Amino acid sequence: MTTKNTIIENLKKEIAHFKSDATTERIGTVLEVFDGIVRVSGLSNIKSSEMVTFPSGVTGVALNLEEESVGIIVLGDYSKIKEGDEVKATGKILEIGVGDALIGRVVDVLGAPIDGLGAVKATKTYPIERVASGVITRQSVDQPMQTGVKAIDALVPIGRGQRELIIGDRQTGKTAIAIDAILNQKGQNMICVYVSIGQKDSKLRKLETRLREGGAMDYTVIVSAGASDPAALAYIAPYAGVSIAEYFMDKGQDVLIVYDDLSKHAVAYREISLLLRRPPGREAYPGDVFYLHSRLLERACRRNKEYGGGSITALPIIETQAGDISAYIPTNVISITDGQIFLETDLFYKGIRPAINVGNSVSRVGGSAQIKGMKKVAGTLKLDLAQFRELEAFSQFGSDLDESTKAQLERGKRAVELLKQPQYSPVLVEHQIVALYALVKGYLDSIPVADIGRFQTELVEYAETNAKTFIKQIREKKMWEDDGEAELKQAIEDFKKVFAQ
Amino acid sequence: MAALRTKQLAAVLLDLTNGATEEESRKTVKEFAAYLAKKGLLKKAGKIMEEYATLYNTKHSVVDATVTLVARLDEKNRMDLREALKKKHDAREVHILEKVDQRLIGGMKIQIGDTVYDSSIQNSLNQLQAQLLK
Repeated sequence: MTTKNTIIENLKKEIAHFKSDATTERIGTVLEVFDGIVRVSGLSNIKSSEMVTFPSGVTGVALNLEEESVGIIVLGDYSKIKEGDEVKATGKILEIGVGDALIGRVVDVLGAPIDGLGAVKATKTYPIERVASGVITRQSVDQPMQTGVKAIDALVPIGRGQRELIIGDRQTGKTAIAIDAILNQKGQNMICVYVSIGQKDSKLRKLETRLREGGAMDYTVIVSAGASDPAALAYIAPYAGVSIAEYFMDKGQDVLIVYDDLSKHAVAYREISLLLRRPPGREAYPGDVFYLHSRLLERACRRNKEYGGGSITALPIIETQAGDISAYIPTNVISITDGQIFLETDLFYKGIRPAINVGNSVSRVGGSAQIKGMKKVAGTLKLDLAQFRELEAFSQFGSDLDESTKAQLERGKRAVELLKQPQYSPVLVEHQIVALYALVKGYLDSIPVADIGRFQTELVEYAETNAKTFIKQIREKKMWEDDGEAELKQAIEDFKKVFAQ
Repeated sequence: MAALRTKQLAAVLLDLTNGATEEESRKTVKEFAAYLAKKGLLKKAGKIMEEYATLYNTKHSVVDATVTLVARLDEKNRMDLREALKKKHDAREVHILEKVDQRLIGGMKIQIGDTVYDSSIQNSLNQLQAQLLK
């Protein structure tokens, strides 16, 4: 009863305090509507990417300012817009409401919730298009961002503030890697933003459930522009996502943002550009498609201490057609990012999952972010794998191989086996080091290849109780010391005896 | 020769008729129409007329205002409104087109070009709604 009365009292107060003003507005008239684009006359003095509202309440963004008319993309349902409708300019550049309340939510491109969990209370608004942080505010990448995927953390390490492309054909596990990376950020003081562009709602739903089960929604925001939404929303989605990420970065937090995927984003932009009659170029993409992605990915950065010390790590995803990485969009994004993780269908069907092609994958800046212990074991691993690939081709011809070649081949097979990892099971970095240590020091050479997976999981468990000093040293000092190493060696020897039985 | 744009054509027409007597203007317009017909531009005539009106208004500082209300203005109010608009827009003449729309509930709405001054009750209610939703 009292709550009802207070609500009424509050409402009365609000209404009593309310002062209406005569407003001055600039308006235009709809000339034509087609496929999510509206051409409007009037609206003089409108700015580029200014928001406008239609009578149905839908928002639009002015993209093309021409002499006689303005080309506007509609962010939402455009079926109710008629010729002759009045369009109001808002005077505001396209913006999104941001705030801590977004964490754990699924929102659309304008920040409105689509997960049915009630309103999201935004504390601030951020413009969707924003100039990236300048040189003065930046710092080089030197903190690791552990993905929990052995093959990535060891061979193509990613640092906080880096932009690492995940590229590969359909169904090669691109999203899986990104999801594993998000799941692994639990307790790492990271905020994650997952931007879903033009994906099936069923896939998004599955993904959200998976993240919620893994407890990852406690630090994750999902921004979605679905497959049934107009291209305009898909075009805005990654910028909206990075604006949310910037809000958290400005608070000094580390953020991981996944764009899944930028090929669909480029396709959406191509659609809009062609409808706006901008001249098409290669593969019918407009001339500024490089800038489209470079300005987006440039917003990933690591700030120095004076500027809050936050960071945005970006994992853009690109889908290739039949492994063709020399198409227009893949080459563009490869040249923008600080490295790529290349996934291959062949490897995937050979059972090597994650299907990372170690030879073609690189991380241009992540090396300096790798922790010392990992660097030590991964250096030898890289060499082992490189030699293995070289010898593997030769070994097909005959079995007359000398001892050292045979040994290298066996080591390589075990390395490949060790790097296999099922989905949704990220591995802690200290556990990765234990397993890789055993490999590069030759302890696995006497274990049959088929048993490597089981040996590894059991060894990690065993080391957790019997090589505590080693694990503690990695956790705290990021590198082992002599006593820890001796202890681990002993533990591995002991465990091998147990395992053999 | 590149096709002339409607704006240029309207400007030419304005130049030609500038300071001419009614007799002369009529002749000019006839010739102008003939020219358009020859060039196959007659379908643009409507657009050219619109452009001409805007150019004429800017040149002679005439303002076209559309006023929407719930009831017709009386003579005194109309004069006051005209004077107010003349001052605000620095115009020599104000043409008022009155419209009646009951949806405003009260107050009035003035549209000049693509600028709208809205002091209607409808607008106030919309503002109140927006504020309460916050």
